[in-house]
Amino acid sequence: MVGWEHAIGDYHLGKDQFLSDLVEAVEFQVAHCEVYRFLCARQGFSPSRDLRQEADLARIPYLTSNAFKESRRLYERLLTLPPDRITHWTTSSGTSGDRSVVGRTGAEMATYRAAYRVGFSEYAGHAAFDETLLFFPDPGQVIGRGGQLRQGAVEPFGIFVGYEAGDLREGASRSYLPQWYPARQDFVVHGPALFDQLRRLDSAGKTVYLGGAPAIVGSILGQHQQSRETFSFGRRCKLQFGSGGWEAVRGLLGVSKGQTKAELVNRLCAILGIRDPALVDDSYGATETSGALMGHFSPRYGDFIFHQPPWLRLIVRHPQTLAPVTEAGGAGLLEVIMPYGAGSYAGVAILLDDVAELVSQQACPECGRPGMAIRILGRAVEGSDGGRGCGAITGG
Amino acid sequence: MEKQGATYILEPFGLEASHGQELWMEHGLLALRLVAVSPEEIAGVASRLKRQVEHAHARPLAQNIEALRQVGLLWSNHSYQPRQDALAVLPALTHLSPSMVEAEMGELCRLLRPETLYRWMERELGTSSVMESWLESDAFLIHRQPRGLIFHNLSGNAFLLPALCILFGLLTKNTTLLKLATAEPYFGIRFAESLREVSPEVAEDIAVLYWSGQNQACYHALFQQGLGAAVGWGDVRSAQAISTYAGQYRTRFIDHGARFGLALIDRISQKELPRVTEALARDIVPWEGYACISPPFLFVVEGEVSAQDFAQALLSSMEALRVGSDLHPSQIDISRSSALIANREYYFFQLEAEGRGKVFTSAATGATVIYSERPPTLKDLELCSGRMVMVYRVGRLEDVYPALVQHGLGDYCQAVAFYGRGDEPKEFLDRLTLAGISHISRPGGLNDKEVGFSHDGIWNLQELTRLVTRSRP
Repeated sequence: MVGWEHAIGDYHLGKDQFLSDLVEAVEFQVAHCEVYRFLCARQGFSPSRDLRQEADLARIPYLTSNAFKESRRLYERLLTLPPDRITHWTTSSGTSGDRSVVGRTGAEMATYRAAYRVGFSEYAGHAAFDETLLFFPDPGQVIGRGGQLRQGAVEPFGIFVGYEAGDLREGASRSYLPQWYPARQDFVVHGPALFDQLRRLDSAGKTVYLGGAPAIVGSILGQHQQSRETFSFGRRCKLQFGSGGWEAVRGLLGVSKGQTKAELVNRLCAILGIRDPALVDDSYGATETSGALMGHFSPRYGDFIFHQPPWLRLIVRHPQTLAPVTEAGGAGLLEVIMPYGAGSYAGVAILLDDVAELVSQQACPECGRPGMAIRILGRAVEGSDGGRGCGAITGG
Repeated sequence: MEKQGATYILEPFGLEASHGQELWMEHGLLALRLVAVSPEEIAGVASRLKRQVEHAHARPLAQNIEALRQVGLLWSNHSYQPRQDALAVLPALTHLSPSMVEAEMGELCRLLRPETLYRWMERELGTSSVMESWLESDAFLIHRQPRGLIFHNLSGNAFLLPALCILFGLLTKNTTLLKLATAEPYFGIRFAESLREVSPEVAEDIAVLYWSGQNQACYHALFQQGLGAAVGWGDVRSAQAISTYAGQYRTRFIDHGARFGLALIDRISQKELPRVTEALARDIVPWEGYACISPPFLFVVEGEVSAQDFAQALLSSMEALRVGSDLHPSQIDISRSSALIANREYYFFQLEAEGRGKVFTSAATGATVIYSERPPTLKDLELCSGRMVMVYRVGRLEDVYPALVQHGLGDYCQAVAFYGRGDEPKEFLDRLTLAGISHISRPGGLNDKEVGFSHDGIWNLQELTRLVTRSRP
């Protein structure tokens, strides 16, 4: 098996290498995780026997992201190592609700961070930026404050993305904009100061990288609403979203779900003076997998198109049959298969509760990047008001 | 590329020109636009409906029943545009099949016939005339008065429920304010609009509004106006919240939820097994397990057939009905598909891997029957919905209720489908109802729709009126 450090970022990673690494990773998990061993035995699956070609990937028994939920009390049994060897108990974002808990070691953390780093870098280009403005809270302020489990401190997983975005060269100017406001119990970006900074960079002809969760970027919209000020960065500005959902943006913009991303991107481009919205990127990941997807905006789809890098595979499973969707335009549940970054837990094949649409099996129809291209349509989570109705009270 | 679907606009009913927050809800290609009304608007509507109580009381009952008859005729008419729209929208909102929605719509229309309405009133109130005159009863004269403004807090996906609440109000001469459920905010407004179409005067008694169930200011604004009663139709949290407001404002609270159905199978024979599991499948499958009558738990006293064999036979019957009947949704919603896969996985690991049960599944996202050797819990009640039910083995019938009570389920069980061999265990069934069960039916009969049937022991026309008496002159 090639190490993650060789696979992540290797855009020429061979299919045979990927497959043999995958067999090895699944065998390791079968050998070291009793729960996953049970699942494979129940489905009569043997990695060495049944995993011979890419077409076999859909047969790999998957865990759902729900298996890692704190309430299911299974996350410790999903480990391949003794719990005392876990150095990072990573959780999904949010301080309330039912978090996912995934036990990782330094190797899995490094894989995940590398996956984001190479993705951001590939899409942003490798040129330097004069200024990196990050709409992520400073990870250092957040890590270690995530509360305690029986096994140790927990860390929000997504926050590490903030370390990997923008210009990472030594000495490059990077700022984490959101500041903690105790009165609001929230991270807040000071709008006037942000626009002062943008104005200074723009008038000096500087390049700027803007990155962060979609909801936080709403602070640009808020300040623009106050000042009506716009900029003319053009290609001097790179906008990359990362680590955060789009649902919160709906309320912010007062638009329906289908319009959200296009509305947001177009408004931000108009404010910043970015002429081509296709240069705006988004990233996608989940706590339960160490993989990350990068995507670019598509004015044609009114959405971001994400690409499968060579070190992981995606399956869009039909909601009815669970078979892989093969027709472009078909939607289903997204599964991520990645042999790297899952050494500490049974995370090689994870069925997420996100809905994806297959854009192409072969290559992005817009930028031509090879490999599967998808859109993320949203969460497949039932509403809280959908309780048991009373369907039987009719008399007559 | 964005796919284009139909958009349906839902205006608050009973309120002129709302300035509330516009909301969009999307279900596949359908988009609903509705308005979340403000606390001030709710207070204004409630105040108007309180003033309307006098008019509602003075209006002859026959006028209300005639209006309901005409509404029934409208909804029976296949070319009535709102009916056509509802048949397009409701399957997406409720996850019922189009045929099931149409069947339920047919039941509603049957219900709106005057002869049915009068029969219903007779069953619950003795006679309909008690609403309008003083009747002799032993040493007294008796009469029934409306309670005033009735607030219904709706929940879940039962689309007939808002229509029934409006009907309850009109039969009891109350005024009615409905708060729609997020899961199904459509039919209540369309039904009220059809009532206004046939009788603007009668429709003055009704308001159908939407606001978030989390918005406490809205509830305070409403309860401050002084309600005749608040009726809760919903899950545990919703019922708790409404009962708290009711207590704070000294308002009568009528609690219809949350409840679930149950099946008890006592020593079934091999010969009877297919017939009984097919009947039980009819209680479960058309509703996708989401109706409160659908039994998520089936308790089996073993005899000739083991509980595991029963579970397997039930799975076959559920799957046969699912595939073979158009009363079952042919497609599973993706969120429910995701939940089903995750919940199966939970039982693989928590029961089967631990040697405490077995998960019987049909292919892909079809029916699932969990055989469990530990009694069901509240967690199981949360997970066993949709296409999944749980079979639990008990040593004898008498062990059923203690098993429910052991994990806090006793308070929520409302109806039982019972199958037993030989003589009916009258004493056991009596104790079951003493313990809280409201209705006992045969397998396949949990959804019987007959006058006088009460799924949870509450006769609404009685609850929504006050019996008043006076001595004979």
